[in-house]
Formats: sequence, structure tokens, C-alpha cells
Amino acid sequence: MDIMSTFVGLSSVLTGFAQDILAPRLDTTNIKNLYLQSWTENIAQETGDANLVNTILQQYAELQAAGKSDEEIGEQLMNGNNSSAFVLACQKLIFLWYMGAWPDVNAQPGTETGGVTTSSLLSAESYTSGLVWQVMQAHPMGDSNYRYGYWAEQPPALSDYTGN
Amino acid sequence: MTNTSKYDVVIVGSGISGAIVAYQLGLAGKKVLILESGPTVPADRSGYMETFYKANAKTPESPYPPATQGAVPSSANNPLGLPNPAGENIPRYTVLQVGAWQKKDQCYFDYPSQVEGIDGTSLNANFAFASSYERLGGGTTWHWLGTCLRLFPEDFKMKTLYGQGEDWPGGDAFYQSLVPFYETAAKEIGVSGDKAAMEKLYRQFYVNPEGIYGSDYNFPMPGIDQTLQDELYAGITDMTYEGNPVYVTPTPQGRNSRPDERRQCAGNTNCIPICPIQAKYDATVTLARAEQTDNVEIRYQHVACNIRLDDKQQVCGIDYLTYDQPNGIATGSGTAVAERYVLAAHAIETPKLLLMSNKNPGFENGVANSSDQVGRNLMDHVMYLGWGLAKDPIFPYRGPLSTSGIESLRDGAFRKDRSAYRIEIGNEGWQWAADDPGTTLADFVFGQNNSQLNGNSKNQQGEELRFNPQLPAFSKLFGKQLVNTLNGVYTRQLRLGYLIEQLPDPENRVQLSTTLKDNLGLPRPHVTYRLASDYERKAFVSAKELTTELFAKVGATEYTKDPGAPVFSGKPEELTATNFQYKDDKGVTHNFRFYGAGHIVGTYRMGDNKATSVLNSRQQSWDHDNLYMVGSGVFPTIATGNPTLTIAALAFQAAGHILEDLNS
Amino acid sequence: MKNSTLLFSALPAALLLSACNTTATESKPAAAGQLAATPLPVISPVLPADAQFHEPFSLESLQHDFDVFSWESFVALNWPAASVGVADTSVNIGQKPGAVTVWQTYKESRDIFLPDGATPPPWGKDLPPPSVCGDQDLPVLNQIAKVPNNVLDESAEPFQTGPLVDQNGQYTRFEILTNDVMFNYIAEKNLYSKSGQEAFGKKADFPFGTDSQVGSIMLKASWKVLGKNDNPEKFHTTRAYVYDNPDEHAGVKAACKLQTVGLVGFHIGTKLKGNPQWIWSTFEHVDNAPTQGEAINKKHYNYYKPNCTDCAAVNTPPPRPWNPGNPYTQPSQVMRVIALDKPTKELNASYQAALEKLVPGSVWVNYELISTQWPTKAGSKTDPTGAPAPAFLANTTLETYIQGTVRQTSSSCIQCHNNATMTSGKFSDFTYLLQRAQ
Repeated sequence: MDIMSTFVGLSSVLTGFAQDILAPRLDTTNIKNLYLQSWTENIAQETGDANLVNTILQQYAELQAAGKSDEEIGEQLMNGNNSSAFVLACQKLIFLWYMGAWPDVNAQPGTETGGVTTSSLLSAESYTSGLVWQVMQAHPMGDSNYRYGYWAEQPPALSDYTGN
Repeated sequence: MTNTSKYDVVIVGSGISGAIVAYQLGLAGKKVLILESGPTVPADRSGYMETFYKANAKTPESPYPPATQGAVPSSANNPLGLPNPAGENIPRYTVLQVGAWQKKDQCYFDYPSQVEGIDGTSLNANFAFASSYERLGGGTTWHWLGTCLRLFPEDFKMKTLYGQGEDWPGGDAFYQSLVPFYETAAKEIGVSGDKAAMEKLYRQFYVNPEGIYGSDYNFPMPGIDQTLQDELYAGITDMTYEGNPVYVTPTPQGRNSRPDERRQCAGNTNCIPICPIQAKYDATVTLARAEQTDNVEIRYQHVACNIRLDDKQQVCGIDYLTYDQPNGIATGSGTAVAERYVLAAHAIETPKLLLMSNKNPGFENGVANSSDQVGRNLMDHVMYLGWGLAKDPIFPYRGPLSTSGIESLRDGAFRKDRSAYRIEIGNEGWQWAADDPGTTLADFVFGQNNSQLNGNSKNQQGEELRFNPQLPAFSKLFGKQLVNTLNGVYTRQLRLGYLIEQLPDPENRVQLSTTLKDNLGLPRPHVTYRLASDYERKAFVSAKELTTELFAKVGATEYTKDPGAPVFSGKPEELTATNFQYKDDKGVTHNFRFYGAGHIVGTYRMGDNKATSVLNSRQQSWDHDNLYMVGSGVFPTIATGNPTLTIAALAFQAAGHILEDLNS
Repeated sequence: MKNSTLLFSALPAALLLSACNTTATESKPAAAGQLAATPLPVISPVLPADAQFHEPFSLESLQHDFDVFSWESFVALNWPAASVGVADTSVNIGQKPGAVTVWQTYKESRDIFLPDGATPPPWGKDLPPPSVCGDQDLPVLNQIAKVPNNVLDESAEPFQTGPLVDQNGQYTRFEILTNDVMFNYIAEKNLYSKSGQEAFGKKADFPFGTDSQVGSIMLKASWKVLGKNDNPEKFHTTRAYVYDNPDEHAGVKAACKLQTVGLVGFHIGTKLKGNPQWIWSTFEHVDNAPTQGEAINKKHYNYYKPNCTDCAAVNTPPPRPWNPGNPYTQPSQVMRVIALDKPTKELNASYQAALEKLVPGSVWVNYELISTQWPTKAGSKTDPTGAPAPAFLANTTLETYIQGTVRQTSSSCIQCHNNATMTSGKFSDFTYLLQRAQ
């Protein structure tokens, strides 16, 4: 399995969106390339561990090869015995796919809010590609492909947006 | 004075009121020159859209030049990278500056330092002004919402009816004289509206004893389709509040419900900051029509900086500076000359220009300022936001930003005692209220609780707010559980916004900063802004109470967050900008934070007394016959509706007066 | 295998169907560098009813297949006409310069949407030109039964983005036409009038083609008045009434002149089975404008003056007032913003070679395909635009001022036409024509 298909598989498990939504067979935006690059670079820079991303991808690939379900893989990655840096890197990947922005997490455990997160958009395209607009069955604000009056009707089913 | 100019009229500003006056004069064959301080209307709005898409903070000003964020490298003291107004030729106030209001290298406005020894309920506390405007071709309509409500006759006689605020000059008669211009304005904007719904409302307030609209009147286009959220509130049929019935009215809107030379609204949910397909009217439409008359010339990047008077106290020229680069040096200067002059530079820059023009003998306090009212009575609709989660999905983040509101509470006996308001029903979920969707997302991915959905938060009524009680506090979710949780939250988000009428207060004012300048060397506005009576504060209590009632009525859970007590001293970043308190009759202290509605009003008001107003009811300077001013600055009170339709109607009316004077 | 199911689910159903009944086609995807080995495409007067797809499918392969479809359509539509909508198979394309083409006999917009919603004349019948054009007859250009009254009554680009002015200071003129399938649908459903649209009360849904039957086609053409420095032998030309339409802009006075005009731009929108978003092909004259980032190596462009220091800013419309009747307007200085991609350039070269081989000196070698826009997820339930590829497409003569790559604002045929509705506010099936009903 090449690194991109591993990355897309991992992303699908973490985000809850089907691979075909994240990386369509006929992919006109190819946002996955930007995300893999950004994730790899940012995690290496933030953790000082240039290999962490590979470790995560490898663990995913092994679990996948072992025939585990998406749910089992997710549990293993996020709630298994992985380091907090490993889990945080996975969480940041989720945030990246949903917002198209790289998060800066200021965790303050034990406070009322648990800290705050700010973020920085990668590009115009990453903004409009954010899964957050799909999970709400809507569209990026400022970029709707729907037609007049759609707001008076129920949107398509959530599964149509997530592909699951 | 012999007029050697080729222009009949010089207009400062190319926003909606300047554009309308220019268009009307151009149609009548008058030669018009518009001086616009900002850049030209782009052939294609792609540049603005791209800036918007890339902006981290999608504020009203985010698409427009000069850059509002990331203009300089961010730092601890300037995390958003706000530009230094001292280096800009046409700086403007932005909502990102509200939080930085005490930082003179980031905030365009100069503010007085906070009064000492005050507490949250003190009426003399200073606040940041919470609304912004644009300096560019087409003006602030680039990011208006599109709401096209008429004001009510009651709004025009507040003093007479309730002993509060001011009457508009002539009161009822002025209202009636404005009605035909309301119709013209609606036509120019191309308002989509539901006539029957408005008639119901107008009957409630006795707007017109003869039947509300002329028999042959209708809105230019049918009403915009209502959202699923609107339907939720439309289910309220048996509620009254302080003597008024509570019901939802579809909002007349300046966006196409049918195609014409612009597209039909496609519900990009982005009227503010920018409609990508220009389904929403903006003043560039009228500006283009004005230029199409072949009688209107617009000069961009021409910053009016001084008004000259002749020895008969008539305006004889407007001096301007020009520039090529937004941060570059002035590249030229000149004087625009015509028979008549119109100021249409919005309610901050217009008084600033008048006050800067202080070299004319007899008018050392500024042109048109014998009354000392220029710059005073700065008002906004101070906004209260309430937000919650509906029982069932109502699918926000879809459709125009607001498609209906509660208008039935805009007048009543309570107005003796507290501000009236209209309620805008927001279709953008918690985007404004809680900076969503990012806040909720970060909460459920990283185990935080800024949305109050993922911790141990309770609302102000004591209800527990964790979205899924089955999940532990500070859950960190992924995969399908994340999908289902986020979907459950986002599709239920409700938001109400109360546009609370602020009374005119002469101490709320725009002056010239004595220390701060822009890159052209022009003084920056010094702004004093307070909520100096309990009249508005009581309306906040009312808004808070009604929100809770309304949410209960529709079965929603309230998430309106207590903003905390104001902080009046400390480091600049610790100071609150718009937080205040009110102690009610029962001794309960309420914490509030007000937001701006973008309705900047009142700084060169009309009146029927030369001593207490800047303009007569013809929107003509009491002091200088050949000087007129248009725009929201002419409003004696802010009233209870969004101002743009009234701004447009008044501009049409003023254009008629100017033509009359030119032809006499 | 789980993966392969996923992969195929991404493709529009129609592509799979079409792939199954791939008929014999001469053109195969030309891999880069293999052009010489590829036989020249067949030049045929037969309008293709559908595109032919070749496995394995990829963005590139499907783009190629749609581009071939575009060229086949272009050739068939520009074939000399024998009668209304019918090609003259006794001649080859390019053989009779100035011959009226098949598409020029299609129904013009001005003959469909009449004042007061009047019933339009039937297919094959035109209205007389505006009275201001006088009774000057168009010269008989060929032997076909009906000589069309070509009336070029438009000079405005979409949404008031501005007129396009050629190097001689003259406004470029536009016309929109429909084929019989599309016109008949409009006529049968009474969609030519406001009241008819109101009574219709639902979304329009134009007929798509079948495997053998051509479906709805709409066309938009741009023409320039041939004048100084224009070589008429390089253009497909026609004689047309060039009409200044007072309805376009305030201040325009009705005027009309019979003039020789040259074709500079050509849109084809075709509704294909399984592609409810239509397929959008766009062609241009090769001398229109240079491309940003590429060499500016022609002495003469239709819409660009090389080495100019006092020209208008690039891709900026002239200042208002806009009036096609002005004797002279400062020329537009136009550049293409998005370069043609390499495979399209190669396909253009092979079609131009085939046209030249068929008729040496053919005027049609001076036209090139810019690209074809098609939906990659035609059946998407969440995206009615079907994720078009390429994401952006503009013709420098038809979307001059909105070229670029910004979503919603830069020219994208499908994304823009997805917003098209009729006077009733109902979706008009990707055409802005229906909102012209009175």
C-alpha cells in the first residue's frame, strides 16, 4: 500500500468520512496532498519527532492488514497504548480535515473550558474543503452549490455527505 | 462666486447614499464628480472572495482592502497581525480592533482612557464602539445584510410619545413625506418582500391609516423563501410580551428572489462579509447606473481632507489628497469645485471631514458646526445575542444569513422606560455567537468545553448543557461518534439577535484625535462611546428574559453564555471592550456584552432647530446653503429597523431637494 | 474487493454504461509524445450523440474523451448547412468559406423570447430583423433553402461584467442559439413566456441525448466586426445585422448595420445522458489573446496589443457608459489567465492537422478547443454541480473579465449555470435563456 492510500485510510478512520469522500477516484481538488504534507511537516516540527507520522501510518497499515474494522482500528490508535503525542497528532489530523486549518491547542486540563484552540487556514481551497460543512449537511459559508430555496427543504441524508 | 467648474455637484463618498444622489442628478443631466477615498470597484469580485476564503477570522471587513488581519507578522501583543493605522492612507475601524481598542498601534480610533473608580453598572464607563464600515467604491453595502425594513411613524416622534430621544423634524409629516421615497428605494434595491406579512405588521402599528401601501404597490420581487428555523418560530401563535403579540415576520430583503441582471439568491449564507454571486444588492449597482448616465465621474483614491468656505459662508471647494499605494506617500492634491456639495462618507468620516475643516474664519470648530452638534450623538443598535440548541434539527448554516425576524415588539408603552428592539433570527448557527463551527469542533476533538457542550457547564437557568450526557465531560471523539455528535450539534443551533435602540447622547461622539494620525497626516477619529442610561440596559434584561421564554416555547435548550463582569483596569489585553452590568429591581446583577449591528448613526443630525442640529429637514446644512449631507449620520434617532432602506429613501429625497436648488 | 467497489462508485453511471457499448472510434487517447504515431481524427458531419469513453478511467482519460467529443461536436456544428439543422454532406467543412453552418440555422434567442410572451415562430422560421435594420436583404450565401437572419443583438457579457472591445475599438457581438430539441421543449412547455413558466410551475428538464439521438444543445457565439488589420481569410465569416440594442444599457440608441463579422468564440452546451450538469465545450480563434506566463509571439491579436504602454489594464472592462454604438472605444487588453493544458493542445494540433489535410487552407485550423468542462460526480446527491473538471473554464471572448481560479466568482460553466432560473424562480436546467421570457 502506498503512503497516500495509507494516509487516506487512516484519515477515513479518524474523521468518520468514507475514503471516497476524502479522496474521490476522480479527485479535482487533491486536498489530500496538501494535508499529508502539512500534517507531516507540522507534526515533525512541533514534536521534534520526524518519524511520528510514519509510526502512525505504519500502525494503521498493520491494523488494516490484520483485517480489523475501522472501529477497532480507531480504538487501538486513539485509546490504546499510544503516546499522548501520537494521539494528539491524530487529533490534529482530524481537525485539519474538518477545518482545513492547522490547530494550535492550548490545553488547560482541570479548568472549566479545558483550554482553547486557535487555528490557521492552509489555503482558500482548504477552507472550502472542510468536512465541518459536510457534517452539518450544509456548505462552506460563501461557497454553496445549492439552488435558490434549498434552505426551505430538508438537506440530503447525513450518509450522503459522509459516504458512510 | 463665479463657478468655473465643469461640475454641478461634488459628492464625497460612493456608498449607497452618494451613489443614489449621483445617479439621480446624473439622470437629470447634472454633472457630478464623486471623490472616493478608497480603491475602485473591481471588475471581478474574485480578489475580495479569495481574501475572504483565506481569512482566519471571517469578519465583515475580512474580504476588503486594506488587509484587516495578517497584515503584519503576528506577535504576542498582536496575535491577529492587525495593521498599524498610522501607516495606512485610508485606515478604517474593524471589528477585530474592538478587542484591541486600547492599542493605538492597532486600533484606528483613539479612545479616552477608562474612567477611574467605576464598576460594571456605572453609566459613565467608556466602551469600544462595536461596528465598522468600509472605505471603498460601493461603501459599506459590500457587507450589509440586505434587510430592508421601513421605520415606523412612532420612531419619528419618540420625544412626543415617550419623552425619550428626539423627534425627527416634523415627526409624522416627515414620515409621510418619506413614504414615496421608501417605494423608490425599494425599487432601486430590488427588494424581495412579502406584502401580506408586512401589512399585518403595519396594521399593528397603525403605520398608515389609509391602508399601509398604495393599492398598486408591491415589492419588486416576491419574498425570499423562509428557512426551516423560521418555521420553528412561526409555530409561535399565542404569545404576548409586555402587551404586544409575539409573531414572526418574513424580512423584506435586498437580494434577488428572482433573476434579473443579477442572479437569484443561491443561499451562500455569506451576505456578510460578501455575497459571492452579487444576488444581494450593493451600491456598486447604483454606482454603475450613475456612470451609465455619462454625467457622473468617479475619482478613486481621492481623500477629501478639507472643506473651503468663501466669504459668504458658502462652500467653495473640497480639498483632497491622492495616493497610488495604500501605504505609500500622497501623490497629489487638488480642490474639487462645483455649485453644490454633498457629503456621503458615512457617520464617522463625514464628521471627521467637517471637524478637520477648521481653517475657515467663523468656523474654527469645523464646517457646518455652529451648533456644536457635528460628531455628537453617535449611535448603533447595541445587540444582545441569545443562542441555543433546538430539540430537533433545523439545519442552520443554510440560506441567507437572516430571512425573518420578530418585528411586533418594535413599539409600545414600554418605550417610556426602556429601549425597543427588533429580533433578527440568524441562520448562521453559532458562528457569530460562539465562533463556530471551529469552537465546537475543537471541543470534541481536543476535549475542551468552550461551546459548553462537552463539560460540566450549566446555563443561566441552571440546566446542564453537556450535549450527550452518556459521554464523559471533556470527551475526545473521533470517527463515527465524532460525526454523529457534531451533526447533532450543528444542525440544531439557533441564534437570536436583538437590535436594541440606543438613545442619542451628545457625549457619545466623534472628535479629532490630537495625537494620532494616518499615513496622509490626517487626524484619526477620537471616539467616546458609552451606554450612559439605564434605558438601553433595561432592554438587555428584557432581551435576556424574552430569549429564555422563546427558547422554552420552541423546546430549545439555551446556551447563551454569561459573558462575565467587565474588566476596567489592567493590561490592555485584559480589558473588556463591550462588557457591562445592570442591577435589576430585585437586586440581581446581570452581566452583558453588547455587539455592534454595523449601524453607525447620528453624527450630523437633522432637526428643526438650528441650535441643536447640523442639518435642516432637507438634509441641508443650516450654516451653508450649498452643502448637503446624506447617509445614516442624518438620523436624529436610530429607531427600530435596520437603517439602509431609510438611508436610501432619504438619499432619494435629498437628491430631489438638491435638484430643486440647482434649478432654482 | 472492497477497494475496487469504492473506486467504481465514484464514476458517473453514464460513464460505465457508455464504456460498455464503446463503438468503433478512430481516435484513441494520445499519450504525450505519441502524437506522431496516432492516426489523425476523422472529420465527420455527424453530430455525436454521446462521448466515447476508454478504460482505464482517470481524470486525464475522461478529459481526453470529452475533449474529443467537443471537437466532433464543433466540426459537425460548423459543417456547411444544406437545410435548417442539416449538414450538407456533399461538401467538406472548410470547402466553402463563408458558408452558413449548421448551427447558424439554429434558433436565435431573439426569435424565442418575444415581447408580451408571444408565441415564437416554429423551428426553421425567423422573425424579420428589427425595423431599424431596414429591408436590406442578406445576400444569398449558399444554396440552402433558408437564409438565416443573423441578428447580433448582444454586446454585454454576463452579469454586467463589461463589453469586450477589439483592436479596432469595436464592441464584440454575441448571440445565443438552441437546437431543435431544446427549442421544441421550450415551445411545447410554453417556457417562452413568463405566464407559461408560471403555469409550468416546476423545474425545467431538457431532453438529453440517447446513444444515437442528439439531445439538447445550446450555443453561444462571439463575433468581431472585421476591419483594419483583420485578415478575413483567417476567420469563419458571415454577413450579419449588427444591432445596437437599446434594451442592453441605458443610453443606447437602436441602430443596425449589415456587416461582415468573424467568429472569435464558441460555446457548446450539450445535455448528455447521465450528465444532468451538461457538457460544456468552448472554442476560440487562435489569435484572440496571449496566455499569461506564455510567450507573446504574435504580431497581431484580436484582443491584445503587444508592447503597449498606454493600453487599458489587462482584463479590465472599459469605463462606463457602455454603448456599442460608440464609434470608437478604447480596446480591451485581454490575456488568457488559465493556460490550455498539454493534452488539449496536442488534441488541437491533431484536429487542426486533420482539417488542413481535408481541405488545405481551411479556415477552421484557426480555431482551438480551450477545454471541456464535465461533472466528475454527475450523480452526487450533495453537490448538484457534480464536482466539475476542470474546476474553472473561461473563454476570453465570453467570460473575459471573470477568468481565474476563485470558487463562485471565477468563470466555471457548471457552477455558474447551476444558479440559472426562470422568471418563476424555478431552476431552468443550466440555462440563463429562460429568464429572458416576457
